[in-house]
Amino acid sequence: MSAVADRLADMAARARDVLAEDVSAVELGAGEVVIRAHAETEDMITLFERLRDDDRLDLSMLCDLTAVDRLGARNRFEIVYQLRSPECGHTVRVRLPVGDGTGLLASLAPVHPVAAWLEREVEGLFGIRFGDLADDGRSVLEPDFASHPLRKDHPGMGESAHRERRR
Amino acid sequence: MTAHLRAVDSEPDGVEDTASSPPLPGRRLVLGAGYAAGGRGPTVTLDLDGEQVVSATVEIGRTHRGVEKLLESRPWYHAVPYAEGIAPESGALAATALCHAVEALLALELPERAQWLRVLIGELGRVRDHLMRLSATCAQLGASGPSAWLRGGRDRVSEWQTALTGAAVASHFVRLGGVSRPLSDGLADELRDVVADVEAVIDDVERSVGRLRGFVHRLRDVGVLDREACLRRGVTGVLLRAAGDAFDLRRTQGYSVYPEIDFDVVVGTTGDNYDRFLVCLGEVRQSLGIVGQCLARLDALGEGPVRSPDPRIAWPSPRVEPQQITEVIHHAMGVIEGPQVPVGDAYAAVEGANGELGFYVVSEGGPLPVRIRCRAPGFFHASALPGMLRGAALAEVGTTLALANLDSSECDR
Repeated sequence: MSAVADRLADMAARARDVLAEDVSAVELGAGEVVIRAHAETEDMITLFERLRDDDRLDLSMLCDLTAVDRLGARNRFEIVYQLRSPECGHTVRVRLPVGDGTGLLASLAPVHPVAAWLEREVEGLFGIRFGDLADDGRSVLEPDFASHPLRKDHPGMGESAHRERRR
Repeated sequence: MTAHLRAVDSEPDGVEDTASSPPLPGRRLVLGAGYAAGGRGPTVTLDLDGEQVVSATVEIGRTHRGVEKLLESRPWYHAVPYAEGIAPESGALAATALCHAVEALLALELPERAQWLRVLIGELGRVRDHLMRLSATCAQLGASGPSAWLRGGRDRVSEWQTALTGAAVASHFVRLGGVSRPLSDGLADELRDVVADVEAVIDDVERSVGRLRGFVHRLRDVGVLDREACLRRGVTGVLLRAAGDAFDLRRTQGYSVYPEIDFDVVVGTTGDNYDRFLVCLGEVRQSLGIVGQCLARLDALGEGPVRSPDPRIAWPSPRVEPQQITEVIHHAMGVIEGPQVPVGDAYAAVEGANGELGFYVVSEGGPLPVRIRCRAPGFFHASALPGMLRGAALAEVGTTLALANLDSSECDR
């Protein structure tokens, strides 16, 4: 087993120890560790604090936060957090199913301040709302843009062209 | 879909605070998206007290193309050239990041030549990008000679890339499973000349700007973003390294063939514009050294395949006539739909010219992606820019914009 694979296996084992019953599964993906959080996980802040503060995991960088829309699935939306250990460079992904995305999610800004910037983007593009945002009125889109463009039910092109294509 | 994201000046704890800095009537200056120092930068609105910036607002999205929506509505291999548009000067780095993510799902093994060629074209992209930033900075500070030399160096690299790929921008050289073509002997020799010429330009610039009265003074302690502020805002790349953090994915993560390459990570100390200028200069030198090592290794490897022969991504050869109807169907579907990527998700990032440039991809097994997310470094830098501009003199804004490592096209959504 290579050094990278060793390190990833070690991170996965440590994440299982640290998070115990609080997550559904910790898996080894293609060159990264994937943590599947419970759909009903309430205390996400504590979960991310434990990942950040554990010395062996050292997941102190939130390098990305986005959403995935699986239109038609039971859990339509999923929030995906990419964490990175600045020391070894490996990434750990936390996947959090959030149902139909109508609920108000806890903001991760208290743990990773950069999250506030990314949550605003997700709110505009997917319509998933996060609590504690300083200014709900500002988002990636124009203030009068009513829809959420990265939702799968938002047309990929102009309305008229979309109708033409379906004809 | 029109992107219109505003970053406003913020308190250190990351909580946005617009109420405390109301616009001052008659003292507002808007630097448009085409502002020369910004190059490919965003629209920046400055509220001024005399010549001093009280607060700044950054609007991105002026070169908006809805790229993520676009990527999700096309077959996987169509996504690669679109991804190149994210970083005009260093599109190969964006294409490489996306290919790494998709190839992780496909569990593809790449020929060694392809990996070295990707590193070579990516480092040339980094050189072009940094030369443009350095040129814009010199222009802002009245160093017109060095600015022109740097621009000329960038043009030399672009011309060589055009000779190899047919295009200076959006060349589609990096493809799923490898690269589009090998390097001929003639082009390799020509590239050695280009490398020597650009190194000479860097030497000249270093000698010249040190003699220019006020050049260093106008960069020192301007646009400061320290290490903690960088990490708080997700800022990476030159900005983070200029602040003294040696975070560089080429070394930290050691992807592709970088563990076999000898290079130094250039770091600064205070995170001001002068450190950024020096880090950019140093990284151009390091990248040129990496290009030299790539050429030597490609020489040693000799001729051979530059794309994976995996039938899932290999295009049918025009020289081989299909013998059976199943082969005809496979060839046709390979062209129409491209690869069927297995169910799963993957994130892959490279050290882009501006910072961590990553793609998160999700597949449900069909010919179309479910999600392609671009983690563009400039998007994060946009949130930090107002803090870098706050308190600056108006004359210092141009250099800060030039060295902010922020392209509007990267922030595109």
